[in-house]
Amino acid sequence: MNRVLVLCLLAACTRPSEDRAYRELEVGVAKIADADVIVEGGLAVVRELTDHKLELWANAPDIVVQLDLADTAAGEWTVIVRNSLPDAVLREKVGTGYTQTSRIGDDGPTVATFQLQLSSGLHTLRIGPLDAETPGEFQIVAMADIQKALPTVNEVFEEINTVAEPRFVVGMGDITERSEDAEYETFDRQLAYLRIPFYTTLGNHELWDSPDKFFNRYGRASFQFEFKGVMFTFADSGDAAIDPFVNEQLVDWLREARSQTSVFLTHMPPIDPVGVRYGSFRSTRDGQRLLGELVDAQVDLTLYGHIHTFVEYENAGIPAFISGGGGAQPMKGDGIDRHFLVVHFDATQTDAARLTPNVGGLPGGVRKVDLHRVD
Amino acid sequence: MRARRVAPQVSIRSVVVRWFSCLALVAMLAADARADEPEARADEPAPTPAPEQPSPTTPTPEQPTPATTAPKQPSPAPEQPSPAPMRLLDHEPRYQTSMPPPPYNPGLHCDQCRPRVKTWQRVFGTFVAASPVGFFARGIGSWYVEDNRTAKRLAKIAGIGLGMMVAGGVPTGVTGGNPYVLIPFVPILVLGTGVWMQSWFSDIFNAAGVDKIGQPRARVPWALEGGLVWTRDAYRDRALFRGAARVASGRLELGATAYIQDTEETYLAGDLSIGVRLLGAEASGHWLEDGSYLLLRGVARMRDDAADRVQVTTGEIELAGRLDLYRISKVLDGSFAELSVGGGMERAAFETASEKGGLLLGRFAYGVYLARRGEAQVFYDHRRDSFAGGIAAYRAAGFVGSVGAMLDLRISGRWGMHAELEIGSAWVTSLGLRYQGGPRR
Repeated sequence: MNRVLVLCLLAACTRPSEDRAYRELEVGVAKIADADVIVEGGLAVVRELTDHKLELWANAPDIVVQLDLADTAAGEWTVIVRNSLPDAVLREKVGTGYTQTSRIGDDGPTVATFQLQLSSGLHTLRIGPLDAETPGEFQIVAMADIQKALPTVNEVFEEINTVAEPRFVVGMGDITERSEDAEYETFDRQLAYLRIPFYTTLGNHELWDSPDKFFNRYGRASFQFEFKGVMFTFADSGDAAIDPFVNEQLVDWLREARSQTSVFLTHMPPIDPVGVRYGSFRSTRDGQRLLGELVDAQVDLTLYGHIHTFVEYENAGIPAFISGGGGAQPMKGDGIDRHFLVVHFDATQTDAARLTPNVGGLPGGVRKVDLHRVD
Repeated sequence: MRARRVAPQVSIRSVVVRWFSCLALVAMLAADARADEPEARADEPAPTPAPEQPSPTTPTPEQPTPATTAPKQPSPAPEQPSPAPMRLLDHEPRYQTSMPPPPYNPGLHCDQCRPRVKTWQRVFGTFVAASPVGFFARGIGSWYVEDNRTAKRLAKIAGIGLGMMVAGGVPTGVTGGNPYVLIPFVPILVLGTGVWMQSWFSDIFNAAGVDKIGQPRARVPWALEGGLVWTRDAYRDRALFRGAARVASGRLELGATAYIQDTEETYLAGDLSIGVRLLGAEASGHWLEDGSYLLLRGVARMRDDAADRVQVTTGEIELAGRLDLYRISKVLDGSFAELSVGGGMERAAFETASEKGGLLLGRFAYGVYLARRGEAQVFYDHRRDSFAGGIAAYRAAGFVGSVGAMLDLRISGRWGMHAELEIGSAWVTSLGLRYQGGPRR
């Protein structure tokens, strides 16, 4: 009966994700009696803030943390950043420069532990690789839709480890089937098989239970970060639509990234390339509005999930890939099961060169997108 | 930071001016029509009474069949003849067909044909039929009112619907939406859901025991409609002026609709449609014994939305049908079910690029005729490109379309109205005033 009530309430609501859109603004903010912490852009979850210890789960390769300490909190602090790049270091801003702190311990390639002396007052800590701001060539892995295959997703992760030097994995949602705590715990354990961090938005399956479970573990579902000159913009489309509040941020983010290589990631394709399937936004008009904004912002590449297959196509002239091969029940008869994408970037291009399609038809900043089969 | 909600930018004055302009236009057309048809005035002397020219096939309410009501209701026909159809025959020969149109007779197919049961049985049966139990145990409402025959038929129809849902849903689900199985399996799934739902509404209708609720009538030969459409979606509220015209001749139907929002961000949309009535009565506006029809329709649409910076053109073709449910069981007389399925192509043009895609059209509805006035229906529409889009259906969000209710009434003479509420990702409310041809009553 409660579910019927929920359905009725959802039907009556034109903004079912409104609460979620505002709720995720709380990600990256924490406070205890003598210490405040704010992660800029909400790009990390504060998993623990206790006496002289700060533990974060990063959702971006390069994060900036504001740590404000009272007198009683001054002293040696242990900062643990999970889901960080293997070459991430901690730098504290001092005047116009930074003092660097190296990692200690060996809890795995994606767990960065630092110990540093902090006095009372405001500290700006930056955790990320030293080359994060240097435009250049690099590659990433993209995948989505793990769902019921969580117990075996380690096989996909081990396959990703064989790819030559990807810097991180981006996820387009649906990491769980039913958004249960046990599933998230399984995913955390499986991530230990991966040697690089995994940054993801949520999918509709993360909404089978409270989205707080996702926010408290992995951070915001709508966020943006820059890495080596490429802008990655994630949007929460778990309800088959983008809330206007998220869209407002999205438009600003995309426009800021207009002059550089820009990648847009979300769970549901705005328009299903097979129109009669409707595996896309609830409203075609909302999908078209989003595509118009992507066109306006000169986005170079769009990555989606939700449909459990691989599709390479164009939406509104922008190269698009649907990669739902994380292990969820695969589409039958399409000749592909588990897979992921390897995306190669070269952000050293000039603006004009960036907008000129390369040999593969992709914009200049996106050198190529390789399909990597697991099965 | 709060979400930017664009306030409605339609001034009340502009809406009122447009509205009255429309009314003035319609009034002028009405005056012209009256000048053309002086014999159709309402103050005509009473036409030939029914007993002198009885319908060869159709008993009037005043002339019940002996098997059902003759002993209880002596015929009042000589005192209260049914004037409207006769006047049409006498004075509007251009609508005359080979057979005289039947008079208004809402109990044509079911005049006291229901089993006599106590009131509490009807109340309880209706409650049970409308409850979740009735949703799954099809026919239980009819069974409560001791109509086992209809209960069995509705159970069989629900079984057919469920079978279609399984037949369409399983291949779609098992293959994960493989494009090669979407057609025909998704349409089968949608239509099967329609059959399943229609049998549920029918069970509630029968349990409630609504007698002589109304009678179908043919579509009118022409109609002009003006009205307003309010849309409320996640991004904005809009008020649009809607104008429509429709004309039918023989089995051919032509229609045009326009939507205009005159604000800083212009919204202009319209469609042209052509339909061929494959089965069913021609558009005469007369009372019918059976309102069932089958229609093949093609529609061309365009939309220029300055706010979203997109221009969309759509071409679609659809097969739509209506079945008067007395054909299933006489006790369902006065109710009908509709199913339609089709497809289309869409092209969306942005500032520097365009996007092409396909559409799946699927719709089902259940409705009742409302006395002499018109009809009402509830419906589900699978298309996602309309104002309404798809409902936020929890785990099925994205796949499910919109739901709605529609009321189409004749107010007086040639005047009618149309009201509709559709709920998807947006709420869409339409209200229109119609001036139409055909019989005045």
